[in-house]
Amino acid sequence: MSFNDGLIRKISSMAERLEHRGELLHVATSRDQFVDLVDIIHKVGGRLVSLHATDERATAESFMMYAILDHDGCLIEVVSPVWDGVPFQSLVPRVHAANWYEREIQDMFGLTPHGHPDPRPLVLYDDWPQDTFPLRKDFDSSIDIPRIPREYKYRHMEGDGVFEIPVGPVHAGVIEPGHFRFSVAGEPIMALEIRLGYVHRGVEKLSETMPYHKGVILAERISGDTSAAHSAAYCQSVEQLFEIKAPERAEYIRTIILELERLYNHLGDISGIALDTAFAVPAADGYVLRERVLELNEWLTGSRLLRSINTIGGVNKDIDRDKSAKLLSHLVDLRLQFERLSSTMMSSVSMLDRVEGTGILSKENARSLGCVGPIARASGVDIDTRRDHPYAAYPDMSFRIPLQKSGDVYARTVVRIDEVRESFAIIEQALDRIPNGSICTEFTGAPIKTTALSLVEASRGELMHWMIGEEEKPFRHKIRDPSFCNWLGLELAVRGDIVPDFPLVNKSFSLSYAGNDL
Amino acid sequence: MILKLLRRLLGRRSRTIQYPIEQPIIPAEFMGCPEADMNRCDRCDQCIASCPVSALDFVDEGLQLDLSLCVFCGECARVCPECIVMSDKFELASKSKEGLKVVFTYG
Amino acid sequence: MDESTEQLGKQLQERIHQLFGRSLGIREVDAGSCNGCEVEVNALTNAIHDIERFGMHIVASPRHADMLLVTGAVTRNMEMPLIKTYRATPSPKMVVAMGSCAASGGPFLSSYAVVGPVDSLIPVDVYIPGCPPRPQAIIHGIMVALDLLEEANNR
Repeated sequence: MSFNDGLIRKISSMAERLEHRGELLHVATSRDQFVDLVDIIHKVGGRLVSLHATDERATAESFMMYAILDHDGCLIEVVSPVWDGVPFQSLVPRVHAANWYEREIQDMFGLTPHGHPDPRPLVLYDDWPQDTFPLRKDFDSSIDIPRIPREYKYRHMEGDGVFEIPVGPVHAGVIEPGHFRFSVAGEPIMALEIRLGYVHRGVEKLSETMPYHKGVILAERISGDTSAAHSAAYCQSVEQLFEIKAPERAEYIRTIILELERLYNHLGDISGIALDTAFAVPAADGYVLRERVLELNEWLTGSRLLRSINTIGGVNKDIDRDKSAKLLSHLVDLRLQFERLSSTMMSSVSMLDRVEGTGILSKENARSLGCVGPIARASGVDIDTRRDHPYAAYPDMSFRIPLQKSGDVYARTVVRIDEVRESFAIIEQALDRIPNGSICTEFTGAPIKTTALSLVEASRGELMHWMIGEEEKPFRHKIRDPSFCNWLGLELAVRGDIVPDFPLVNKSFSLSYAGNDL
Repeated sequence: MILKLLRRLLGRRSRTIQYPIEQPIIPAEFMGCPEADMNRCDRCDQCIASCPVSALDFVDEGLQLDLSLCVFCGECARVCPECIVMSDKFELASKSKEGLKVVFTYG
Repeated sequence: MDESTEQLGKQLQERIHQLFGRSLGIREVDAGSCNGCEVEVNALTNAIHDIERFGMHIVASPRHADMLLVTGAVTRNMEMPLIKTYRATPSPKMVVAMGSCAASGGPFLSSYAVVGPVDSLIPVDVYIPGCPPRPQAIIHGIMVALDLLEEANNR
């Protein structure tokens, strides 16, 4: 897609330097112009993909702040310096999607946003010392960090008959840790406050210490059920740095793997919806289908969660003709069973009664928070990385992007059901057209480029890996999981619903805690 | 609809795998516990260098694998397919950390 | 299946029923896992693996639990919740550390945000290696914890 000329003129009048880097338009600007520039792109429909900082004090004598925006299929990277001790002007009053990003920058780099409506810590906890910032280059991870008691202030709602229900971090179900605080008046939820960061493992800092070929292992463990998408994004970024290209056959195998991952996650989410509406038969059926996909994964790659299959320069395991034929026949059967499951679910009045009109996320809110993936598509926001920024073998695939308008649990379920159908079709196409050849390009030499950006559509939505490379390992590795954009959507969606509907709405959002906390 | 559903369900066999009474079918690709044949090893260090979590190390008796660290990625078996294979063993639980250390001995 | 295995299977089944006559409550605690282990624990309850056939249940609160199944390298932020969960579990209790991260910290051990493996905070009875362990390996680990199966020393 080509850049809009008018917009380019506007941008260049405010930029210090403008540079086309492949698909990306790199715009360097001064600190004063940064917010205005991002706001201009945002106003004409640019979506904030990521906002992050780097510590470049050794080379550029300042921190750098990068905003990545997606405008009509064109990626724009706006960069400006930020100085230690000088608060930077917050984007949040104009671009709401920047909210958590700026809080993350504050935690990790000690740069303070000026004018941020909610400058509380995001991932580093109450007892984290206020002068220690892990992503700064002079941070020493080997020393013990003391615990200094501090109190986290929750938002409070007051009034007659208003109560608070705190939930978590250890939940009743087998899910990850997070804290939810409901303010309720009777049954209806007036407000929900989500506090995460319990599974913050310091992945971005760890990645800076891992040589590229070992970093794949770490990328697979960012978010367990998104292993294939995270490792694919990591490998693609490193491939960009080293200017190597995976063979076409490997691109096809990656596509198949990524769709298998979408399949088992969506099947799990759809069954979860059935389970949470107490519709036990399709739930049990659905989990059996999901288990069958997990078994297929293991049979195909050796790992139920599709780990150790992506590698820099290609893939580790081939799909030979025999396997391809068997996979196809399994898919035919799975498809048949899935159609039965979805028709049982969607023809049940008692289920529809629970899901229709529950947990509505409006299109405006989805847009303004920068929501991605099935959640955005269920609210009518037409984005899908597979079409907008194609990678792997997606340019050769034909598929439909399901859209719904109502933004409720029903819409999210329907979008997922339709996406499962598309995934079946994509795998079949890929198996049909897979070219012959090698499955891996040799990964040697030194990095040629310094920066890389890779977008992948995971089952939860667009996922980003952004990297500044050094000789052996990344200098800075920014990971943005789709859940990071969608959590705030959940806060808005449950307002006005009753407490017993929360598990259902939460399930329909299907968010990752580990991917969000990093 | 309920009748139809019941009819379909009644026709089914149980799908449960009766582990541990019956053993599951392990696919050939499965990456279980790594196993080293030390008779072929020439102590080149490649497997140790390739391990992303430093689970492998040489000891006097041979090659030691610490299963508490191993992430079963199969990297060692890829750099040294002559000596190391990913076996189909998955019943690895142990009551002590010492029990998780496996030593592959020479001879 | 030959006759001896069948015999063994029957004996095992009897022992399982003896021991689980009253059922076993398992509480899963994510202390910093990547969610991979949770996928497999969830798979335990589906119709294929179905741990309810032994009378094992995943319970909703540590107060109902006989066994804690802990996953993940313990993060700084989950240290207190894990200890509190352990204290809330009535004795006698067992702790099973599931997955490589829980046993040793795995790839996250050297991070500033990770306190250490599970046994650096609470006593662990059984370690289940794997990343993540497949569902049968979890069942095997639970059986080892209950002295139902001899440890697999035939590696």
